[in-house]
Amino acid sequence: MARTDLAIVGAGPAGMAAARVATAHGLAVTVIDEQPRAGGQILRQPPASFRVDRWLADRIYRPQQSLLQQCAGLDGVRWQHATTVLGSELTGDGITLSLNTPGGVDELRAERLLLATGCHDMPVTFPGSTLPGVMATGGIQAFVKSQQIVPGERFVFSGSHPLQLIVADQILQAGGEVAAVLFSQPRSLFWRLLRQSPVLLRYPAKLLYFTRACARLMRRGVAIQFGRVASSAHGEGRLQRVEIADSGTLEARDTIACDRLGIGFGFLSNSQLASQAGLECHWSDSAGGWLARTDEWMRGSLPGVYVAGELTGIGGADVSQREGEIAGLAAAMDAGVLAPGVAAERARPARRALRPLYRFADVLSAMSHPGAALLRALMTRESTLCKCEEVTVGTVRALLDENPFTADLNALKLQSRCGMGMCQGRYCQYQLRTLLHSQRPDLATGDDGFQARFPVKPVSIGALATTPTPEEQ
Amino acid sequence: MHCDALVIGGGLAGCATACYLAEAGLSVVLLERGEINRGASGQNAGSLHFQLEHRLIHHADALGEELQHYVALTRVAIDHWRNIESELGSELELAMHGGLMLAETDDEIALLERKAGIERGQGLEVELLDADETRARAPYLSPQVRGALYCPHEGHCNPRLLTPAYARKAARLGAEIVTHCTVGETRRQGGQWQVRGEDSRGTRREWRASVLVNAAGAWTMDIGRMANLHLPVFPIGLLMNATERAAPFIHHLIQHVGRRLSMKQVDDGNVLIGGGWSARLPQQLGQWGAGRAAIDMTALRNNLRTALAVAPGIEPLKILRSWTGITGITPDQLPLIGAVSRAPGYFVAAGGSGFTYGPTYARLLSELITRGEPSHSLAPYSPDRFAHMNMFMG
Repeated sequence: MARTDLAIVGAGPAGMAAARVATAHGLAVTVIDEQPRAGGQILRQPPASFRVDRWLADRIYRPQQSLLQQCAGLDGVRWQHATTVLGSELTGDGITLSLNTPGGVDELRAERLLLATGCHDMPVTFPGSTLPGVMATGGIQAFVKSQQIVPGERFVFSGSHPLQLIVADQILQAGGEVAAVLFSQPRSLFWRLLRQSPVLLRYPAKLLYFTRACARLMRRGVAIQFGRVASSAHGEGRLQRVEIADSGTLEARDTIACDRLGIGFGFLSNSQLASQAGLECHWSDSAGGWLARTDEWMRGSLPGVYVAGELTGIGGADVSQREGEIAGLAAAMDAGVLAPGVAAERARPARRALRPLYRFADVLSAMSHPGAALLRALMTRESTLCKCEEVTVGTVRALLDENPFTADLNALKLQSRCGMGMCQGRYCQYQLRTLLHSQRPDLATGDDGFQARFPVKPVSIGALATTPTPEEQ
Repeated sequence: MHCDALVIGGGLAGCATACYLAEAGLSVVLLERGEINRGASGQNAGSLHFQLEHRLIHHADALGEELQHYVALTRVAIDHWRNIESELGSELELAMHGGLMLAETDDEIALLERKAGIERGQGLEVELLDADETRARAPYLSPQVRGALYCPHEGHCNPRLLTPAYARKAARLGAEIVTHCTVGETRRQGGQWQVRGEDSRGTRREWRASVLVNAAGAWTMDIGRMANLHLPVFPIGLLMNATERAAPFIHHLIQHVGRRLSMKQVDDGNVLIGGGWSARLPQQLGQWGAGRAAIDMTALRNNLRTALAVAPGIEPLKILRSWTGITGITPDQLPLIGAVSRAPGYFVAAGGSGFTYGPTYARLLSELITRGEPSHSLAPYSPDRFAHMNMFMG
């Protein structure tokens, strides 16, 4: 079995930053990522055989691009790409990771583990949400970023997150057509936040980036509408039009023809590995769902396990990178190769940078969250709540009515099958939780989330059965 | 508050007993520290295995008469299962298309023959199949399989649905189901059982009941301690695996006479694989801790290898999740069902193939409670067989 001092799951900004810092202090580091190349979602790299002119040329990507370049030259890091971590097992003297690699299932023994698993787009349940052509806005962006592919012809974006503007702009620049960008919030919310939150003005580059995107969209005549939401998607076998409604009353206002609908209501942390390992998590409606608790050194609730980036709360690439640096220092300090005083000194710049970044992230999360009322209203009886197991909202509501004593997420999962399929609830847990809490208003919070099980992502019986046991190695 | 019967534990044994007691006209309160069906009752893989399990055959000589009683009880359970969906008025994804207990070696064939003798002697329908006959019924089985014992009544039921159906019926019949209530005290006072519980908000409640039923599953011993009783039920962790959905190809419950294996395909198409592979119980300061049992990766691999050896075609199927559950086992592997003589009004329902036999155990126990005599003897399961453990308990 291969061994490493520090295993890092996720080669995004947090993972890369931690790898750089930890190797600089002499730790042997292994970085594991599902993608074929490093960079994470923020720097979705084109395949190595591609050449993309002006790839992510805007200056807001510069800190992460320079980190990527530094990482490319690191010696003490083993990069294990195209590899999925299926689960981790904590024993008294270390951590065993089960890996699904291109060559089969394998194990890695690590003294320490950093989970920097990032986030995914928050799925939203509404009539037609499973129709081919309805996509996550972040998913659309991944196509554009990595390959300059426009995955469709005529786009509508519906959501509450400012990322919508960036992606709509990127689609326009890559040659696609954008019919409308809809924000569920009233326009006044954005102005009020801008006025009340001077922290936004500390990041002029980000503001400028958004302003430019807006300006380009407006110049091209793209309608940016506030207080509107795509309330249903329609088409024969694929998306052909969306119904636009007032986001307060869901009263229909308009129908727009399109073949792609981007859904952008924010992000949820990828918390499955944290949950499978048994890390203590807490719930946040607006900052990413289940988030791992950490101390000031990014240590999770289990010995030897660290957490950095979106999994501690959605905060963006800059927060992730800084948290990754601190986690890298903590791993070196806890391994005994870096004196606590020196570690504290070296963590100071990251901590100083994080303070306003956290405030910025809080403002962005609060501003971008659509609110439980809208999410609930969009979930009509016929809408599909769990795509994997094909469970509708109506089925779950009926179960809750028939079983008055069912009052937690895992019990509801058992009864409804929601979350028992391929994705283990990655795409329905937030919605199911919203539904549960709306029908059980007196529910004590502090309930557990879905218990993620090994393997966190599906893997064949053949691959699992042929892994040699420790005695056979 | 006063009630006729107070049941501790919201698993299958507790909910079904509460249901039958309520049906008999008793006022019933059921206390559960978490949610209904969240323990072994909802976490097991739902096998209805009526053939003697391999752990029981291996001890056949020592078990003797108990074994014969067990087979007789099986016939009662089979009839019960055949009617359970109409009895509960719920769709339970019940399938009783038969089960195959496989053999791969001469010794295993001999064991099957011996087993068939015991089972037939008691009137349980079983049929010995040679290799060709076995593969004719189950073409996906490997040529290594040399024969099987077929029991036409075996199958599976969805454990996610059974216990909630009992809970719903119990509630309809007037039973009060109190979840998120942890029992802290059970005391005999003035000819009644006085039970104190605390809910998740810290509110205390108190009940008085003539009858107390301990149906706390793997935690029966902990609840027993509150009545100054040793009730020997020990927790064990078990592992199970579920694959992605596949087109129907396994129509039977598959078990193995010499290896730990149970395999079935449920209505939704998922193949469930288990068979008694262990998971590690959580420990805290030398005690069994709360929380789930941890997966032992070696056990997981060996479980899958066993399944692959008899059904090579499952190789490409993806495992969606492996999960663990905690169940209880007694020193003689027989369940603990009945009255505790030294503690009047105290009854236990725990241990021993609790899913397959759970509904029947619960019905017989409720008969014992309400009529003083069950329609089929529970004598071999009496908690009094461990009375010597309580001799010195004052």
